[in-house]
Amino acid sequence: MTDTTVVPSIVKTVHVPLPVEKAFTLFTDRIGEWWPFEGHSVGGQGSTVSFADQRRLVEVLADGTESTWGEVLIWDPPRGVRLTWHPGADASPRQTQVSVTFTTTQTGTLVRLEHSGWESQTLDDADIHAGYSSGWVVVLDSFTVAAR
Amino acid sequence: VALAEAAGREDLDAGQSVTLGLPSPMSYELALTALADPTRRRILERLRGAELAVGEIAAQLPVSRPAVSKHLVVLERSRLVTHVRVGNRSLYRLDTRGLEELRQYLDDYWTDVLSAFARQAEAEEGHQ
Repeated sequence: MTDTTVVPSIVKTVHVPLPVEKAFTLFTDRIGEWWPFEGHSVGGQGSTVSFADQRRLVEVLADGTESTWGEVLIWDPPRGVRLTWHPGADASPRQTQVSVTFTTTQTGTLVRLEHSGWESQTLDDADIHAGYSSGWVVVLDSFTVAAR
Repeated sequence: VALAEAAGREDLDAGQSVTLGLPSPMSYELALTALADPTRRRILERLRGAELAVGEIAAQLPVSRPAVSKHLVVLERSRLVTHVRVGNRSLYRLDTRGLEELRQYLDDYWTDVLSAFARQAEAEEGHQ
């Protein structure tokens, strides 16, 4: 058990029939063309979102208000992007992070998204083992199978 | 004894929202808000593998005991923490329900996002 966070990382994967460069561009430069704003943004329908200067992921609401979702930590086309993640809230020193990586396959690109960093503090092994009650095991198992 | 009983009632009041009715549809937001605070995350860390009284938690943190109590109320409302009464002491421990709700919300969130991305990618591929 190497996960030392109170909330384990969320890992999701999806395969798309595009070459890796196009998949990366679609996910990043063209994020505003497909992002599901309804229920997944601060402003909902009418908002746009973009990676401003490849440094920040910024939503612009219908009224022109800006909401920064996160700051880019790594911008490495076409392999991946890593950013802090705090939509609807100010940046804090220990915010969560989202990584998206793009891997070439025979028929396209595998996109892997990981949302992590709920705790940056690691605990020693004794704490970790003592902390995993049966309830935790159930939770972790259900999280592991969530990746599709 | 009277003091202990009064303290006990206070603790029960603080935990009341936990036992009321069905989970709110916004419960994951409570967990998100609760976890946004570094001190509350520290408290959760302390409670991994341990059931601790308020004073024991406060002793390990650079925060006053009353402040820890307030944080515990927030954590308990978010169903991230629960407590048991042992004699005249309240022992706090992790409650996985809040985490499960948060986890489910985030899981659905990212599924929706990646599905929208895949739909767009497939539409593009069809046009090539």
